[in-house]
Amino acid sequence: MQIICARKRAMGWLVVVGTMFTTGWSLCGVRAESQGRGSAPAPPEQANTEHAVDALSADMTIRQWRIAADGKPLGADPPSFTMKLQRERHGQGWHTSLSLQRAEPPLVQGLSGPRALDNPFLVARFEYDDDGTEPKMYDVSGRVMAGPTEADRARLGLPLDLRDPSWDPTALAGRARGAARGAANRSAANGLLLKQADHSQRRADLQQRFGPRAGQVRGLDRFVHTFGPEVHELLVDPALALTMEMNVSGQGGLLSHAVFEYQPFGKADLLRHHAQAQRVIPASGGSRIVTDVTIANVIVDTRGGR
Amino acid sequence: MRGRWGGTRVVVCVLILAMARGLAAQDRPVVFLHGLGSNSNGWVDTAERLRQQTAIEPRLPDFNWRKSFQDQAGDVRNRPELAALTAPVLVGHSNGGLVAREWSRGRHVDGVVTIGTPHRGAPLMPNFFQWTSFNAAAPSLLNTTLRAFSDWTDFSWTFWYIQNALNWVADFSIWAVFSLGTTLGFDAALPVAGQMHPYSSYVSDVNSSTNLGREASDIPSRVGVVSVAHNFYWAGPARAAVPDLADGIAVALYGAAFGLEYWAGYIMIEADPSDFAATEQAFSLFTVASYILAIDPFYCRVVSTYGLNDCVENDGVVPYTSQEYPNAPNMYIGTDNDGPAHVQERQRSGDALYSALTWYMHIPNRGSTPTPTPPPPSPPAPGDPSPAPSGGSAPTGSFVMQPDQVLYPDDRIDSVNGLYHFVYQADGNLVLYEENWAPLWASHTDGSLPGLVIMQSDGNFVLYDGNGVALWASGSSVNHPGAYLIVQDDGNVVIYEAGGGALWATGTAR
Repeated sequence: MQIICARKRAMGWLVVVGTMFTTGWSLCGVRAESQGRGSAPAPPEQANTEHAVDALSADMTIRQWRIAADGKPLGADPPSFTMKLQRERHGQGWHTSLSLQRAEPPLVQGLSGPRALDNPFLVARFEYDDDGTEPKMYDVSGRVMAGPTEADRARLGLPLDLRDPSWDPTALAGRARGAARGAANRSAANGLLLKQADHSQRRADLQQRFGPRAGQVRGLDRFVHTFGPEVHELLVDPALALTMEMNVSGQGGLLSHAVFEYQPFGKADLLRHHAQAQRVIPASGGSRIVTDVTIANVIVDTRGGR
Repeated sequence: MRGRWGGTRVVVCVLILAMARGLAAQDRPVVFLHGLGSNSNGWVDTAERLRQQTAIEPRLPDFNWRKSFQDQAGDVRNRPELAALTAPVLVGHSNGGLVAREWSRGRHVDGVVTIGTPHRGAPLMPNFFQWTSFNAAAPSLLNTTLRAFSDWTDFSWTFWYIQNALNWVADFSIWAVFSLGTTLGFDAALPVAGQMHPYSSYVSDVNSSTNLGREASDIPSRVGVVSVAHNFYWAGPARAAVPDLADGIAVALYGAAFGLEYWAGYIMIEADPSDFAATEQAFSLFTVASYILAIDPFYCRVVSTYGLNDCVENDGVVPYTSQEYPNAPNMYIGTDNDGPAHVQERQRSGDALYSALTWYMHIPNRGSTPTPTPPPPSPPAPGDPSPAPSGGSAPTGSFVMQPDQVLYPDDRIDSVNGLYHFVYQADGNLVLYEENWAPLWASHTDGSLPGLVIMQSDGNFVLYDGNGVALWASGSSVNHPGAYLIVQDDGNVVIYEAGGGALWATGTAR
């Protein structure tokens, strides 16, 4: 089975990408074999997912940090955390829960020496059913809680004339209200589990979204789409039609850059087990926020197939 | 919080008149000094409670907190009604504690109590611009999210559920700068602001061995009250500005952050990898959530150290390391992170101030025998710089570092015979020299940001850099209260426990 990954090239952040990016970011959608990379991580639980999935669980670890334009860490990072994803069929859709498994406690210099702080304000669990009902969140004590409300916003007491005039989500929120909430024909994890054999369908989807490929970059098919002032670029493995890199450019530079890695899963599937995105913090001299998502311990249950 | 000057004066006058009726002849004059962005109003209730409990005659002057510490102290101590006091006890909150110390340079005082005072400067002051810059990124990040969701996908409906979180963040990022600035008075042009820089010449001078030695001899009683605020870390800027609302704001902050993280994860799970727009939506949410979750770690560093290198327990405004009165005993409140926040310290530290006045200032209870209550317990070792009984056996003299004594850059201790010099150099290195200034021993910390070297009351002798990070330590900290350091005439520098046993030495005896 072919293992595909996306990784940074050894030359760091100095590679000019394709024909559209002239900033100091590199892209790294390359075949592992061609770069002499070691073997892929041990495959997770093997499962025959040729039947439709009825239930799925996985651990999703999110690490985030800020870096300067030269790639050096800026410090004061948010905590990393791991959440357990669980999905089960629920009526015409899915019951989804994301439960906090572990959150990295901040380390502070205390009167008695260094110590880790427990966060009493963690949101421990999120649940959503694809049936139009409200999502639910629970705190660490199991109590239902809400995200910030307009009352919370009002409690800040920010004078209206100090509010950011460029911020107005009203129209977009109105448009989103009442729109589709999940779809019955979706699989348990379109974004995580992909069938190798579906490469033709994936390529067709890509061409429908982006049109025909616009050449190749480092052996990867390149698709380009213009969205307002931004240019979106997708670099895709030509054989499996898997997205390896995503880039957004605009305002004279690269605004975001994401890479993806896959590993074999079961007999015929691929698991997108790692994604990392860097997004420019506007007006910050080129500093970026990095989000790193790792998927592990994936278990699927077909319950005999459907 | 800022008050209204006119109203304050009326309140103070009424209070003083009311107090005057009940004064006894032996009541000690105690002057309560306010801090930055404040006035005497915040002392009224506490002063009255303490007057009822102890034999004090409170005075609550207002003065211009924008001026330099020297000018503030000069203005207030030269007022006729205060200049007439022969031996007042001064109680200073925040910058008022430094005004009190400054007062003592020009006129005798009988005692000084500081609470929440930035003795070693307030990193928040020089770091405030960086705090502003951090928050300035929020509007653009939010608009990036708005743009991502304007590209319609199968997941754009989630925007309905996240809009409140984004709205809250939009306001919070502005509020966190505006509210903090106005609450603490940072919005005004302040001559005193430069003096609050941790590396200002003022901070260096007021904590110099010369001035600390003068204070030790001129001020019979000194004590610092140090607070670590309730949940100081969580929704940090709210602890500083509106501590009574801070827990609620923390719920909103983490609700927003984790709500966005969860929705981002949801989209990541569902969206086909080729769905560029949906993936952009997910990552834009991850990014905003990351910004929100970085607020507390970043703010804690803004408060803690100039250079943003560390997070130190604090009262929302001043790290505990700066609240500690150098070369003086300190009392700690909120050691379980449940103390008052900076702006609450005057109103909610009554017990600690009562102990400070009765135990350390030797002021008797009103109408009773003078039996002061013990002070609050000190925090546990190893970071405990609070005084401990030494057993009275430690030698004294300029060749000895007693518990809590500090060396600042360019300070030195000489042996009695004058042949050996133990120097904390301005390059950050701690070096023992012999007579011809040949080095015998060094901590090898040269090149570090100069900070201080302290003979901690737990027995540990520690070199902290300018960011408060311990770079070198003697390692003699296990339960040795009262240990002291001597530069001996034989060229050896030795730490002895209170009972006389040697704990550590440079091993340079000649």
